Amino acid sequence: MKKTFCYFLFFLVMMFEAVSSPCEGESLCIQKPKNIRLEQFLTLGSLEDDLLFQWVGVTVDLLGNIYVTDTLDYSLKKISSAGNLLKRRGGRGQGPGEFMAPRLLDASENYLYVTDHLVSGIQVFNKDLQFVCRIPIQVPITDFCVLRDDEIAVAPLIVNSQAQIFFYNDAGKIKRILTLGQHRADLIMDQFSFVFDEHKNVYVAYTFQDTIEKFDKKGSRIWSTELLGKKKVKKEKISGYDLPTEIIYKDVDLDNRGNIYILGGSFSANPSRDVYVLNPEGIQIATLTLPDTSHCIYIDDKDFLYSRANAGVTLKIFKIKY
Amino acid sequence: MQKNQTRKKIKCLIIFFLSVLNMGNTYVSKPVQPERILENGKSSMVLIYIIEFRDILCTPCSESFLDFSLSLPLEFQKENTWGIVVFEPGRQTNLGEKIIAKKVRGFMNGNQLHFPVFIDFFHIFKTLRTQATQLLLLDSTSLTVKKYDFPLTAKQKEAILLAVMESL
Repeated sequence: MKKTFCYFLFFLVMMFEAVSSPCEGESLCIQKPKNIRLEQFLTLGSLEDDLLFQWVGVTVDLLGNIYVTDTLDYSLKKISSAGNLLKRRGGRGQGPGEFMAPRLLDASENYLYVTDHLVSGIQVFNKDLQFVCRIPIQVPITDFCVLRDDEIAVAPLIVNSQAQIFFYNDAGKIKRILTLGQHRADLIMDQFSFVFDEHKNVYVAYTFQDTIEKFDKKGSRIWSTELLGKKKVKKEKISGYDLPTEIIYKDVDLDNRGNIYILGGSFSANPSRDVYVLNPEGIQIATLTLPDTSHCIYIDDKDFLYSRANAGVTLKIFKIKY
Repeated sequence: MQKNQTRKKIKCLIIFFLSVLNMGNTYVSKPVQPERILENGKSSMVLIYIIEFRDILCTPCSESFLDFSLSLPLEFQKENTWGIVVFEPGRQTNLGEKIIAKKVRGFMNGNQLHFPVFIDFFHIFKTLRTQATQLLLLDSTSLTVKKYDFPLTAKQKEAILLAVMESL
């Protein structure tokens, strides 16, 4: 009787261990959907005001000030955490501090970095939006990330090339190149968005391929996953080239816990609204749905998620709740 | 005598045309009385843009239009120029009238364009639409209406600007 009880106890302990121990093999791991949700916190830009006309890039400083690029009025705007416009810089042109089509935006501790869709290079501003310099980068930039003031990681748009990240210094010189994976895709099929974690691992979401990948700082693939089971995107002949016309993944970012947030494109159940949440091991743990379609997502240091609404005249801020 | 009558008729037509633009729900901002333009304005020319909404959202598509508009004397821009924003029924209409109006406002502010602009929500000008933003030049001296598509050639731009300057 005592022996049977011991066996039973041993069996119970083993069961408990099996359930509570971390997964080692992906196929054995059954992930329960985590209760991650978005709680709307703030809305910037109404249909009546003149705050935002078509915002594209967004970033936030440590004080909570919000910076956006607005392509319709060629500007870079600084907005307080309460939603008031503090400063506006820009104007149509190609001179210092001017824009033709301001786009991506990132920040270091002291500076803001802005790309222009029609003008090469990255313009640098201080936090008062005063022009500092232009970093001469000749390749078109599809995504970028400021690691330090003298280290800017850039995803270049290079036709018929492998997916690569170029690391530039503040003078626009390439310091090193990180090649992601082995294969070479046709034309611009390797276009991607990316984000680094604190260990310099890089997470990549491909624009025209159903692939999310994690690489270490040397470019070795740690894992690769697909979320939508979409093998191919539609292509059209444009100026003699077969170019993809459908987007699978639009953007990627990380929260403070290291979870990966990926904004889906045309093939999601809710196109341009579904955000897939993966844990650092690449296992999907939740799907969030934004109330409006967005072209990007941005997550700040305090786990607020920023997305677009009303075709770019509104910026919505959500608190990520766990 | 006959020429004077014809001129009067054309003038009436222009006033009528401008009045149609001014009426009803296409109105957005800064109404200007057409009579004042023709009788008290310094120029005998009126310039009307038929602006494709999708060109507003595309920087390279609006470059020629902006380049030309910003070359016009400020007074002519304020007193003798009008804009009508047209768009394809369907997808763009789904954006909502307020969003379209806000984007047009942002485009006008961002480019420091000073002429009154109207949005053709009821597609009154659909028969005038082509694929491009257009320019209609109404001249009450020569009694002519000319139409140009953007992008303008350098020669067209020069000729129109010359005509405008001469009309002042």
